[in-house]
Amino acid sequence: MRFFNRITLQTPESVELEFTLAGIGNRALALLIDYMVLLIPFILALFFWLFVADQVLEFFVGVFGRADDVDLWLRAITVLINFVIYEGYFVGFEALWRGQTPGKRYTKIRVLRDDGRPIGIAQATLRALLRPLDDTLFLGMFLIAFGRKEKRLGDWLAGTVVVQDEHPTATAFSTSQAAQDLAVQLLQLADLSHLLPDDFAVIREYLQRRSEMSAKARSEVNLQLARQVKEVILLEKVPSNTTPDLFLEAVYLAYQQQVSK
Amino acid sequence: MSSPNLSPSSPIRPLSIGNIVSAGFQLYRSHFKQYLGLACKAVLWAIIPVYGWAKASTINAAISRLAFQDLVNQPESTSTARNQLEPKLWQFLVVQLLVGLILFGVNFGLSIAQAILLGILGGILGAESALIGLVSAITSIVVLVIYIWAYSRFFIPDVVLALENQVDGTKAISRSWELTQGHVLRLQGVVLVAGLITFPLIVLAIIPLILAIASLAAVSVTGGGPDAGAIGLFLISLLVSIGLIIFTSIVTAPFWQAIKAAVYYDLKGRREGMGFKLRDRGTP
Repeated sequence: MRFFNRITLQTPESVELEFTLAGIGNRALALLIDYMVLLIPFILALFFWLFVADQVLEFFVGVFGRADDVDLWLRAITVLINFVIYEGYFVGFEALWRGQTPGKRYTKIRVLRDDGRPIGIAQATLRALLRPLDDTLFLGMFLIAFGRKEKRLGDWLAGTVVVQDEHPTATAFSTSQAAQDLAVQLLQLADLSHLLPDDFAVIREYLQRRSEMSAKARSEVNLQLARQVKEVILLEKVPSNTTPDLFLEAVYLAYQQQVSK
Repeated sequence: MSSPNLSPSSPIRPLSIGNIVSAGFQLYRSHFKQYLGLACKAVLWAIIPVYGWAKASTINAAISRLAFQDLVNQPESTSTARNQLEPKLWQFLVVQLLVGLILFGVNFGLSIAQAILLGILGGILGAESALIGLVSAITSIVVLVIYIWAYSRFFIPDVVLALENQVDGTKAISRSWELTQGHVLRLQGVVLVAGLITFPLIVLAIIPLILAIASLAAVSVTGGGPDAGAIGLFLISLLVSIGLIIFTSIVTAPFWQAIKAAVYYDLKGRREGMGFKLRDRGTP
């Protein structure tokens, strides 16, 4: 679809790979999720550290009778802990999870190097280090929104791009026993060789998505599709007691069996 | 389907939350001048009561129509879109008023229910009970959730009216209700993410206002009463902020109209399987 920017990356082997860029919506959603997930370690660390700091203060007061500069040190360590959690989250996930954080995984996007290879610790670290700067005054967001390659400062410095995961996730759907029986009949009654892979793809997509459709639309769509398919496979008469859904399931199964033969 | 011009060559593919927002943004970006021009006209019309309001909502709906037609690869010119919508001018006002009334009613009814509940509890437990505070907080959240849910169900009637034939204002509202069924959470996600993207602009617009209020507060705290200079500065910042807020709403309105178009596209594909048919073989 042309509503998503595409990008061509050249691998070290001079192979050109085309990707769809992640888009501002996915990146904003991923960031939102990541920040919500990050709240958990932040809160846990805060409680743990408050407990530890309390003990440390008591220890100093008990042993030396006073704890003048200790407070300052404890505060500095608090800042350090937060920094490590924040950076560690992004660096750790992106480096070890092939360019994905939990937010990116949910939105099905990932970080790649400019040459299409997966990113390593170095790239992940650079991206994470510049993240606070990108968040300042929403600088990164504007760069992603208006740049041709949708790169924020961290991406420019680390030489990375964020792209959509191209692996289509197949939605499972179930077919009934009746459909399997009908499929066996269809293989004898009809000429499935007229069915093109494109047609098969449409039938499969309908079967995958039908459960989400409204009842009215579903009965309109399946009837229309079944009529078309019946004509294409030169079926004279549909066996009795066959609903359009059952028929389409059977055609789907029969086509698969025919291909695998 | 009820509209003959909705016949894309391939089935509409459902979009993810992030992709709905990206598509909306991309549409806006690639038609920036066209959409912004329409949004400006809509704002100017909105100054005139009744007829102007109808005109304004029609023009805003035209942005959604243009965006949707682009999504299904059947782009229209601005004048075609506006001519198509002109006969339905008053219906757009009907939609706006009815949805406003419904949402107001929902809010009003919920508030009354909440007040009655708290009143009864107060009578039983005594007004000082800490439980009242807790119940009040919880019911407020419930009220907000129900209100947002209702808002989502009435998110796209103007888009329906702009794109489907033989649909009037009330029918468009019930169509919005029908299409959004079971997709409220996804719509929440879309509104949240799109809101996040428009957030920086809103922040920039209200910064002068916050500065003005802060400076006025500071002056009145230290100096007993604000002097003429402080008040003058406050008024200027106030005017700047109002100007910026109007500007921001003009700039973000087409983005939201494009988002609505993408939502309609997605729901149409998911709920009605629009465009599902085998490839034409050229023979009848």
